Amino acid sequence: MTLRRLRRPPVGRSRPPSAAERAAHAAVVDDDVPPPTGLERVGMWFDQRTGIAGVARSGLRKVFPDHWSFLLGEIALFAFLILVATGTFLTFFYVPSAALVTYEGSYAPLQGQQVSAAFESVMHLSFEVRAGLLMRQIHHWTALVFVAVVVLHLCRVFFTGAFRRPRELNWVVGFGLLTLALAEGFTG
Amino acid sequence: MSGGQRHLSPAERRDERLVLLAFGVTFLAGVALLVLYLLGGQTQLEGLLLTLCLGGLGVGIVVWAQRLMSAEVKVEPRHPIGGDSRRLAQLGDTLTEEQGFTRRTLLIRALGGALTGLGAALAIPVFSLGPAPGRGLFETSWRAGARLAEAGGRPLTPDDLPIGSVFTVYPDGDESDPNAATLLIRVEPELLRLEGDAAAVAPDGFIAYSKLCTHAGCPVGLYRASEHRLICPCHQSEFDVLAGATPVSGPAARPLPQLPIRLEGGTFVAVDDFPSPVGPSFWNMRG
Repeated sequence: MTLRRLRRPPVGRSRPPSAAERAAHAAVVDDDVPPPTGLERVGMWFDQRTGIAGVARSGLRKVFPDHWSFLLGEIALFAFLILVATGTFLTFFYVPSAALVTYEGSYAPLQGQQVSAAFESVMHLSFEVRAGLLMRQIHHWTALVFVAVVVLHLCRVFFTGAFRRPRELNWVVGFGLLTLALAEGFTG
Repeated sequence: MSGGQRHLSPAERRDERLVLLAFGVTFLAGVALLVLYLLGGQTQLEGLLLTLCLGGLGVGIVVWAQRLMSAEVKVEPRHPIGGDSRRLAQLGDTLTEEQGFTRRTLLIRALGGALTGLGAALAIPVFSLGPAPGRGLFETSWRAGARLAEAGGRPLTPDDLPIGSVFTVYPDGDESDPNAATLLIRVEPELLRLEGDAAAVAPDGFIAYSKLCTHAGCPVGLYRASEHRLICPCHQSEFDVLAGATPVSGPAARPLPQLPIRLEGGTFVAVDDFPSPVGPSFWNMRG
């Protein structure tokens, strides 16, 4: 197979653009537009790699009902995210074991007592880990808020008739999420 | 992205200052939280600072959106979803043009059968989860003739129980069935207010109830003898011993099942198992 010699553009001195070339350049370049700011350049960087500009625009322009009850689902979502974050932190310390150990932590009334390893890990998290009790408390109350808000959200959907066609599947998914939330609350 | 230099009304200026204040609170609380953590931390203060931090952000965003942003009402028509017969026909064409996918009936049926077999195979681990409870919820290890004995095997006699005392007993002292834990209580016989058959199996003021609370199953370990009330420490259900352990307070809704007993040869013996399931109520159980 013969190698075809690559065609290269002729090498020559650069010369000033002709009138026709200047006119063609001006047709596509607008000199009145200021160069993009840093934030705009970041946006362009993302858009060139994800094509997100169109979706972002339609998302920001989305017409949404102006009543607080339509945001209950969002509260449920954020409550869930908080639960995931604090729950992940808790899993670093919680030991799910029923084996008996002797408590030797800083809580005096239980010193020397036989407790389960799970209980001992929770006591350790609450008293010896910095901000551990805070994480545990946040997780506890957010879990209660989560279930309550999901129920309230389902009530809102029901009483505004938002479960009718074409949103029957939405309702089923939402109710499934409630069931999962309850199961998760029971099992942790 | 240029900031407007347009004229702001006094109300807008106030709102802008409020937003700035709120975001300022967020920043300061965040820094304070970090400093507090580095200094050793204190849970209640951490919580308060976190509240201020997130609350400031929330207040700022809400005031910005509600008062500073334009409040025009927009109406948007619904977007049609699917149902386009032309697109459905195109989908049908795509499915059939691929080597006659939908016309190979035999292969499609074989695929369906194969997936059913696979589904059956994937369901197998469910059976490893353990045996079905069967009669386990309705029966304990109490049998007719089992002696009421304390853990360890010593059968109780009437002399062991002065009036107002409570003992935890097991069938022949066998602790292996946790559902069989039973309380043997002695009260003055004339105070008992039981009906019919229940009175017959509570001889001489000795009465036996299940120790498992009918609310959530905790052992009912507390007895207030002056009021003849069994109290569960978990959620403070109280049961009236004289009236067949009917719940008089707290979340329990069903009386503790009464173990029918009789005195035989100086010791207590069960006549039969509990007449109703022990432990937490399930389904539509009534006392």
